[in-house]
Amino acid sequence: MIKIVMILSLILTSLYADDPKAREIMEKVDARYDGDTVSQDMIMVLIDKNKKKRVRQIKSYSKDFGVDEHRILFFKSPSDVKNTAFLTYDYDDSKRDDDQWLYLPALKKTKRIPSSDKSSSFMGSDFSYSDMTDKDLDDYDFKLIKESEVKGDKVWVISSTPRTQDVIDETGYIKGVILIRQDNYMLRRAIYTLKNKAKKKYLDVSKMHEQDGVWVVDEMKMISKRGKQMTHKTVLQFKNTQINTPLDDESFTTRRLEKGL
Amino acid sequence: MFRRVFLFLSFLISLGYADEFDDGFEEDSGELFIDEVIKKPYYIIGNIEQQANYATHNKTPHNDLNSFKLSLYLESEYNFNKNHKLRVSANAFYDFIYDLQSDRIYTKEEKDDMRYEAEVFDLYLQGKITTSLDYKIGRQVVVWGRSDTIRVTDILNPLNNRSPGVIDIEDLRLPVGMAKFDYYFGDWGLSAIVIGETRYSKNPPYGSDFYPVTTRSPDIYKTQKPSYALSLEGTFSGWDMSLYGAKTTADELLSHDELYMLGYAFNYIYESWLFKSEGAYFDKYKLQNQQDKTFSNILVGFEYNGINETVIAFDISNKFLDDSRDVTQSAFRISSDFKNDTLKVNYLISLYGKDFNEGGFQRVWFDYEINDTLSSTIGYVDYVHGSPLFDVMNDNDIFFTSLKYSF
Repeated sequence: MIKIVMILSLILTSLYADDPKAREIMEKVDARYDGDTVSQDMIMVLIDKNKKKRVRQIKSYSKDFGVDEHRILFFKSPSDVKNTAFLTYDYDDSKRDDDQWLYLPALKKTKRIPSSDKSSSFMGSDFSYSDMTDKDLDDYDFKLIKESEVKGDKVWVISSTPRTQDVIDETGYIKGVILIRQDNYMLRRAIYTLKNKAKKKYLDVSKMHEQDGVWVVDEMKMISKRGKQMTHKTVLQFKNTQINTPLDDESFTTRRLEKGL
Repeated sequence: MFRRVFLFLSFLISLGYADEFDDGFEEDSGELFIDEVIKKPYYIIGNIEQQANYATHNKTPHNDLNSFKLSLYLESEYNFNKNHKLRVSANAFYDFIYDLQSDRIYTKEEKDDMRYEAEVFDLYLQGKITTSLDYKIGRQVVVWGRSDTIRVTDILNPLNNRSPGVIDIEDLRLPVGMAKFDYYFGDWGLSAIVIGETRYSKNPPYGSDFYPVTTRSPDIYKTQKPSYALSLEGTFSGWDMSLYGAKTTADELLSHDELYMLGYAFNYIYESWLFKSEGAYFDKYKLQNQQDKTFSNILVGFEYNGINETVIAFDISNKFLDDSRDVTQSAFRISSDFKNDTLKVNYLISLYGKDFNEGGFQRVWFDYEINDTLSSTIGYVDYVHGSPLFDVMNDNDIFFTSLKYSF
């Protein structure tokens, strides 16, 4: 009997241990070229369970600084958040906390924000700060579950399991199942299980196109569910995407944050 | 046997994942929210707000419903080009309480100050002279320091002190006419400021709820000499610091005499903690009709963001006066967001005294975003006795509500 339990445990452990094939796919996803600079107009639509919508218009700029990425977002509407701006230095080294600043026009002040806890909602949306930043692959075990298809796109279905409690605490996710398109290594869908196991988040990258050799997301949705019940949904749509247009370093400073668009 | 168990387990797991993918996602609604973005060189935004305050005390004329204020705020910005812009904002209010409670007797000073007001708030030109040099000239707010609740180094702008504890921090500072030049080099920014406008804090008028004594104090307003200020700010990964120096006026104690200040502010991030400190040394701080004084003021505090959607902050400062008296002030604040940031619950307690027993106030309030244009606030301020100043306010506890339409 003990032998059976031990072998079963071994089987179950092996199901969730790191899988070289899955890691190779994830490394290709991580290494996929996404442009040195990107500027976009962004619409964030927040939809509650009664289908009531709130809409935020945002201008977004990002730039690679070596292996790190700097991003600045300016809120253009609605009027009560207009000129609010968010600056983040997303460091590739997972041991180093990102730097984040928020400019609040009502306070006329730039506030530094601790970034250790990334599980909080990004500006009231279903995306967390963790969803908006790059993940360190070393923080996860990956397992290729199967190959499948989403609306004609062939995908790999990969499970991702955080390796440490710190990563769970930081992201708020205990497990992820991610679907990667086989033709371009773009994330197509994902299901994240939250620490509160009754809650899940469903990410659907529903529209994308290739521009100047770079795959660009046009629309993605994040749906929060408790059981089978949708509790909230966020749709992000992108337009006027410009890849590799020159953006000077000064565009990613607190000086720029306070001056606005 | 083992093979059958393994196959069964694999089947169950793959079935689970298949179900998740089939059930969790929505069919594409085809709904497109994004419009063509039309670039305009200007914008105009604003809000209309109706506020109502209800006092729980019986002191006429400020008992029961004691404010019913309608406010209008307008803001516009015009971008001349990529490097230069003009910002104008103005606000006006009319408090209908003096019409609604017309049988009550208010002082002339209170009605003159509190019945209606219209003023230009921001009015400045901002731009870039060279890649390293910016300017900002006109009426503006410049915030020094790191604390959101206690002001140690934040001395450049006068304040709206008419209703302490009720006024939000964003409405507390009053813009003042100044010329500000910022020079940037590496991670540093050096600012030079000349304040040319004479503007005093708005204090409670004689006869109002928060006027501290029963007799009129004489007006001692006089034209100020220009104030000068310098700051050096460094922003680094995980920490930042500022050094300040100013020759300004001691507005808050109504002497309006010259004052010299040297100060610092500091932030340091450790995991979910933001530690902060401020300190300042003041010279020639003159109370009315008294001799010059010197004092220093030190603040330490933290913000903790480790709880989901919640910020907890605590600041404590100690003012070391040169006659060995200390003034200690502390503030604890907790804010939590619920329902995708539509509901924000806030609690703030600010107390004086080493043993937190020299008066202050505590305030709880709820901000609710009804939709993109309509928001509401409801809250309660409880004044705590313990010193002559707060003993006067002790009975001024108040419920406050507002409904705001933004456009």
